[in-house]
Amino acid sequence: MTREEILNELKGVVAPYTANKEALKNLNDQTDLITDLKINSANLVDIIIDAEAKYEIEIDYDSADKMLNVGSCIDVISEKLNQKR
Amino acid sequence: MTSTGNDIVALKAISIARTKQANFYSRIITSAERELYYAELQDQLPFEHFVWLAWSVKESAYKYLKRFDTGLIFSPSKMRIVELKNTAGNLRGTVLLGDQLLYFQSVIHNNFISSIVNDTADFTETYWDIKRIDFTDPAAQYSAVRKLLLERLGELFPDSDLQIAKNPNGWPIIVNEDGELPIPVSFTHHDHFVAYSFQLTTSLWKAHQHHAEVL
Repeated sequence: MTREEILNELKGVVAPYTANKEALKNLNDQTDLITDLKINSANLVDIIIDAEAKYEIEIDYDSADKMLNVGSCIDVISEKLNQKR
Repeated sequence: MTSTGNDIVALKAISIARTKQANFYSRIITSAERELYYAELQDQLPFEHFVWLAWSVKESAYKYLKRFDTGLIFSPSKMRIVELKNTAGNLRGTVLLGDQLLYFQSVIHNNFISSIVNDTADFTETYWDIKRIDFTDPAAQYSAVRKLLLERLGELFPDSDLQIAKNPNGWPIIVNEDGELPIPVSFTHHDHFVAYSFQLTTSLWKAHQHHAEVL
C-alpha cells in the first residue's frame, strides 16, 4: 500500500475518536492526534487496536509509543505491512 | 524545581468490554500490576476500573516527569504501580518509571477516576479540583478547566490579576504582570469532566500574602 492509501484509510480509523471533522478532512503527516484532532489520550490505545485489526498486523509497544501524529502512524503501519510480506 | 501532573478518565466514555480484552489492557498495565490487582484489590474494584486507574496514574506521572524531560514519550507499559492502598475509595500508592519513584493519590467515583502525582507522599501543597461540565466539545473543556483554576487562584491570590498562558513547550503556566509564577499546573479533561492540579509551596503563598499586605 502507498502512504496515500494508508492516509485515506487512517481517516476511517481515527474518525470515531475525533470531533474535529475539519482537521480530519485535511489530514496530513504533521497532523497531531491529540493537539490537532483533539483525540483524548485515553483513546490512543483504541486507535492502535483498531489499526491492528484493520491491517491484520501486530504493533509492538515501542512502535505504538511513536504513533502520535499521522506521519508516524503511517510509518508504523507501513513497516508492519512490509514485515507481513 | 517542582512539577505537577494529573489525569481524569470519564467512566461512561470508556468501553468496559474492550478494557477487559488482553490486547487492550496489556498495553496499559504490566503483568506485575495485574498480579497486584488480583492479590489486593479484586474484591474492592472491578478489573476495568483498575486498568483505568493505572492509566490515570501513569498519565499523571508522565505529565509530571515531562516537565524535566521534554522528550519523554508516554509509554504506560514501561511504568509500574508498585504500591497501592485503598481506603474508602481514596487510593494512595507509588509509581515507578526507570529509577524515578512518584507518589500518587486517586479518587474513584461512580462516573470518573482521577489521579494526581507528587515526588513526596505529602500532598499538602498540591491543590486539585474536578468539575462536571454540560458540554463535551474540546473548546468547552478548554475554557471550563481554565475558569475552574482561575476561580481557585482568585481565592488564594485575591489581589492579583493572574492569567493562564502556554510556555514554548506547550504546557500551561500561570502568569501575572511580572511574568511566569513558580506554580506548576496541569490540566485534564475527558468527556463531561475537567480537572486541574497545581503545586503551591506554603512559603510562596505566604510571601505573596506578605507582599499584598505591604502594598
